[in-house]
Amino acid sequence: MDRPNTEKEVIPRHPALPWLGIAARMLVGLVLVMSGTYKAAAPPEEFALVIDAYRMIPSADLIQAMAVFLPWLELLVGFALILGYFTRHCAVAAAGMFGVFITAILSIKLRGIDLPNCGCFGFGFHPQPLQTAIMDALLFGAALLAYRHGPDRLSLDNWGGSGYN
Amino acid sequence: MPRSVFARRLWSGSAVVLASVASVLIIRGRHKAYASDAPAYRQKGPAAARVTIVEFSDFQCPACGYAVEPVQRLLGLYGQDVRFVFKHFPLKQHAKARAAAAAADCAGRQGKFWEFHDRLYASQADWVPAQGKDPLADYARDLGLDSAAFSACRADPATAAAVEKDLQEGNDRWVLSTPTFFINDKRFSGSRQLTDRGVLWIDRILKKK
Repeated sequence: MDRPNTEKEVIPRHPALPWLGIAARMLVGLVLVMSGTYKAAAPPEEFALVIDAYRMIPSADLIQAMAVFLPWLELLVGFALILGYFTRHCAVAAAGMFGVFITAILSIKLRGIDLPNCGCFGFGFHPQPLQTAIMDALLFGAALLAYRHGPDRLSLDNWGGSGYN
Repeated sequence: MPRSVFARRLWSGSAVVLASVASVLIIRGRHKAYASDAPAYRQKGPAAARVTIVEFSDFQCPACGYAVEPVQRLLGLYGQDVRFVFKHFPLKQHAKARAAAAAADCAGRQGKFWEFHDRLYASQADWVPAQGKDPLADYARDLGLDSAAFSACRADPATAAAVEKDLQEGNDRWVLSTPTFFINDKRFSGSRQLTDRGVLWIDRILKKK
């Protein structure tokens, strides 16, 4: 009697998929680095002004703390993604950030607040709220793709010992 | 080469932190020197005051107009302890802001800077959209200024150069929005930061000395 085949059927992956995952990781990382660098380098009071304009945080001290902390979070997560350090954790963090940004942008649209600038991508580039929401949604998708792809041969995670899949 | 997984993780994490810090330092650039001086007609309060508030402002900016009242309240509250210095920072997107800044300086040379300043902010809705007219000349006339001297001053390249000098100083100080205030060199962006945190900062300075 023949033994039943218990081995899983392996679906061959398209050869372009790993490169798509790397591209998504790099894209999300670069956007976070560009937006985070400028905001972290600029005086935090400027970013605090933008956060305040969203009218979501009542405490001036908390706004000031966020204006210092958030750009560095973006920057560190961005570089970690580019270099592939704790790739999956950082991809989740990036997706979470873009989720928060989308929620904030949609909430100001719903409340009819007119922002001087969204403060999203640094001070040199000020897209309209709807454009920002679309870009954030695309980056959210790219972050999820980077999570699904995980570490790869080009990431520090590979060198760090977690291996890649 | 580090062999343990922990050491490699540590090296990798250091690379991430180092890249982040380096990128910020590169963008931030070198600190540029600046002085809190301005023509006497753009200053209020004693020169020896313990607190100096420098405002970078744009006459066409609505938020700067809203800031006039809180600033006046603050100056009234602290009296002789505060010196106030007004600096021009006409934003690129405000087509008439440079001309308004120059006109205010010309009014200042005839001793009416603050009156002109108040008129510009109070009448933003009139002179900003005005086409083919020169409301600024009308305001000068209303204030009793010498019209010929006012016109000559507005056409003088030195007047535009003085506005440009303030703008350059604002850029050196990384002013990104108006109004931006510096209270003894500590920054406060917008009138809400000025009234929420600026007052506490002034109190701290005055308590120290």
